[in-house]
Amino acid sequence: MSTHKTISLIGTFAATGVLLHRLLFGAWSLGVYAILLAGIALLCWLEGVSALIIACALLFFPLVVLHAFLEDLFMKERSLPEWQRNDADFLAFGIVRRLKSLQEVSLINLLDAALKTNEGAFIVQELGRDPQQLMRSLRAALDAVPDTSVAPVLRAAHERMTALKRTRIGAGILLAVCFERFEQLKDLLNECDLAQEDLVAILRWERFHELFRYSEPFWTPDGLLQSLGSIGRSWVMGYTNAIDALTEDLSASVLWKCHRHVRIHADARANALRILEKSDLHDLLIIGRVGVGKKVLVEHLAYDIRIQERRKSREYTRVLILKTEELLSGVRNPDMFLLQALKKAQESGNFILVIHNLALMLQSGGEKIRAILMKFIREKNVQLVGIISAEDYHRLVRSDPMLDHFFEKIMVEEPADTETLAVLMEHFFQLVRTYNVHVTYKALRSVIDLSRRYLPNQAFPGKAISVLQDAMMLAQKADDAFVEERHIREIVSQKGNINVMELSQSDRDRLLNLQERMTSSIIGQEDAVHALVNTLKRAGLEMATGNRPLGTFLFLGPTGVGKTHTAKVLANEYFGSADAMIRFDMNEFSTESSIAGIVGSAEGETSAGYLAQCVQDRPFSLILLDEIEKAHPKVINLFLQILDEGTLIDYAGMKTDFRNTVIIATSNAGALFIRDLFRREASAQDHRQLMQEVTESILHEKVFSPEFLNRFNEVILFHPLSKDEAARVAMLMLTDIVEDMKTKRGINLKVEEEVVQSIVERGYSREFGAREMRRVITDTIENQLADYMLTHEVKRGDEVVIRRQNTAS
Amino acid sequence: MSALSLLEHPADLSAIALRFLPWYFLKVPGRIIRGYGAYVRALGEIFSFWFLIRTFLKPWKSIVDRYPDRGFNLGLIAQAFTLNCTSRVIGMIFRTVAFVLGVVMEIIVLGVFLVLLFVWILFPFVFVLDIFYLIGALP
Repeated sequence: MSTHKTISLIGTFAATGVLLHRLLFGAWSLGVYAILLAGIALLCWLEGVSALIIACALLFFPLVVLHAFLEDLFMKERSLPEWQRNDADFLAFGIVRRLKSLQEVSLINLLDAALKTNEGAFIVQELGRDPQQLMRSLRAALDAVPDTSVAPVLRAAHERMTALKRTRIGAGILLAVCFERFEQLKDLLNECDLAQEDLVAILRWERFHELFRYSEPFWTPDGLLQSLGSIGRSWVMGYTNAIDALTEDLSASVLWKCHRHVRIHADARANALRILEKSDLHDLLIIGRVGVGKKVLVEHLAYDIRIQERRKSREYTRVLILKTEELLSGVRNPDMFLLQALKKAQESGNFILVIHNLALMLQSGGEKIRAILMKFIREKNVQLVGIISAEDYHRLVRSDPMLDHFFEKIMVEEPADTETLAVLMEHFFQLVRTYNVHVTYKALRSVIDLSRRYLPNQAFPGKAISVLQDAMMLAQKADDAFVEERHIREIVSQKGNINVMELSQSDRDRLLNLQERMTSSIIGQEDAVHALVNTLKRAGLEMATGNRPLGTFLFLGPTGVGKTHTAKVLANEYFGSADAMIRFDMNEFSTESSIAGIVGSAEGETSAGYLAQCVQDRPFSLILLDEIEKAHPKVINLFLQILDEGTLIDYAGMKTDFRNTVIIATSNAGALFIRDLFRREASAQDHRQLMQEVTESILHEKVFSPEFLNRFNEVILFHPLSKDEAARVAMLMLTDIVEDMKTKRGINLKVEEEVVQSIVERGYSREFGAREMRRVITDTIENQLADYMLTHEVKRGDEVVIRRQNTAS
Repeated sequence: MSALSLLEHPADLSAIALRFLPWYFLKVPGRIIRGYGAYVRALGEIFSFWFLIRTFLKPWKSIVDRYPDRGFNLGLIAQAFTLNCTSRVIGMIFRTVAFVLGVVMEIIVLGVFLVLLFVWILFPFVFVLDIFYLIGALP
């Protein structure tokens, strides 16, 4: 039996406010006031303005006062309700106001009213649903709930309100409690692909939203201050035409331009401010990765300096951002110009010169610019703030101890996810005015998750903001009302040069059929193919999101069994092209000095090694380390970090992300052992036992260290090919030639079976597998065919049959 | 259901009515005074009175001529002195104008807020008198 107990809200705090409001300012009341006002106006017109009429008009002022009083008491909801006799007293005024009746209020009535409030509308938006559709779904789901009594829901909502330190039960709390209490509603959340925790996060975001709903009018004290600035202070500064031409004055607009609700890097900001306030050694170097927020930190600093000036009546300090590129490219003698400009500026007052591209300045400016900077670093009235990346700091500043000594350093680290989310939310409220599209909570979360995984070369929050902005632009151009996860995936795919779109049906089919297609091209190595395909299936569904590459494999086996060929087929079938394979012949890395080929070197200007560069350019690729056992042990040790952490730090300190790569190392180590093993007891032992024996043999011979072997996802044993398998390999190779002749020249090439047998006899051996097969086919088929086509007239549509007797007809 | 159901809860209505008096005579005047303080501070910052006073005699925008370092060239000294004096006088004029303008603005703001405060506080009495006047005016 179902229970749907309703409640009466009469007598509750919000209901009292609503009733008073309706009584004084309802439609009827406003009508009466309008009639009275019209009467007074008529009297004025007929009788002229008299004391009596003024006295009548005065009666209306209490209405304004009462409205302000009711608004203050009931609507602002900054403090707890005046009386708290039951849980319903805590209901938000906005919800109660939207109820048609205050008696016999059901849960559906409450939810309906809640979704119509600003808060409710925002939450519906974040769920990515239409309000009416959501209400219909809620109604249908609640119909199936046996007990929808209002009182227990309000009790739970009251508890949740207290936990969230709020003063009223708003739409968000009401929805969160309903989703939590009623199993039937959880399907609705699942449809939105959200968890209960996400709903709570949306509640927090909604509170954040309130900060942006209200913008300070210009006539308020803060508005005036932001619009007009500070006249007397700025008059203290002298004329600085020269420096003004090459700088942007951040102080002039800092109060209105740089006022942000979310401020990250609080410690770095406090430290920087402390350093800038020092009387000595007060020049600052802000070090951090691209996108970590170094420029924003400078803006915040400028803001803090202005606030401190106001609070402590300090002298006016200008924060000037040097346009480095213009100085270096647009001025005939940049050093002379900068020297004169700084001297003049120094005489005219205090200023902080921010060089946002210090690396460029030091690199391109030469010794003279460096000397000028050194001169002004310790001078009065002038402070320098340099912005530089960690790599450039080590390369350009750290290497010059004199310069390094004069700067205090602040390292700006990547913010935590929660901080990045807050920054994103703030940016969303600014961007929505431009693009007029909303962002669902799930999309916002995915900005962080996908950027972290697929855009490793930049730092948060910069990369997340960039993705969000591009996604909003994309949605706007596509006339979509919401930015959803698919928009974010599309942008991340473009920016990361990697396909991270959700799997389409064709992608699913491709993955499901991958094993079949690979085994048709790879003969006799089913175990290897099976292991590879399983890994790629996991990667396709993003099940492997740890800090390791998508898959790491060590292919062991004798030569000519298809280890390298397997990697090529995989690159073609899964990565779409053989070009997606980055191949390293590891015998080229057999000396200690060859380590530079992987991580770069100090010589020359190359900052990254070849491997790192390749992966930075193509993060989603297959890396083939051919004959890894021939590499120098120090080179092999480098790969320990890649296999384990999924990253490589090169000579310049730059981190390269390998998490979206598949790494395949091939090796002939233990080949003799494997061949003997298969010869003796090929079918007698199971694969696992064989694998163990081979591994032990390799470790015993000290070809690889145990820690190296253990870091691979799988060590895969390639079986020596049997003669039958070699014949199938020969058939595959010949099929390629036949198809090539057909498509390119239109010639029907036929190869008799005896020819295949002959090729196998000459091209296959137990020791070298099918290694010689390609050479034999070139000698016996391709060369002969070329001779025949040169000596005979072969036209399109002709048929050429290859027989064993070395004759062709 | 009508607003008349409010009458079923006279205690609540009394509580709200009791809240009205402190709200009217304490809370809102407090807000008016705080609002005035915010405007005074904002204008103080915009005109920066303290800086105008501290830099009252300083040359306008640091436009100065240097006195000669060596020798005694009366012509150059007189030239620098004249320019520097002129610069200081110009600075004084501008700062005086800004100061006076700021003070006038402060006085206007003070006046507006005083009127607002007095009107607010005195209005109940005016209202009561108004009612009496209207009753008296009835035929």
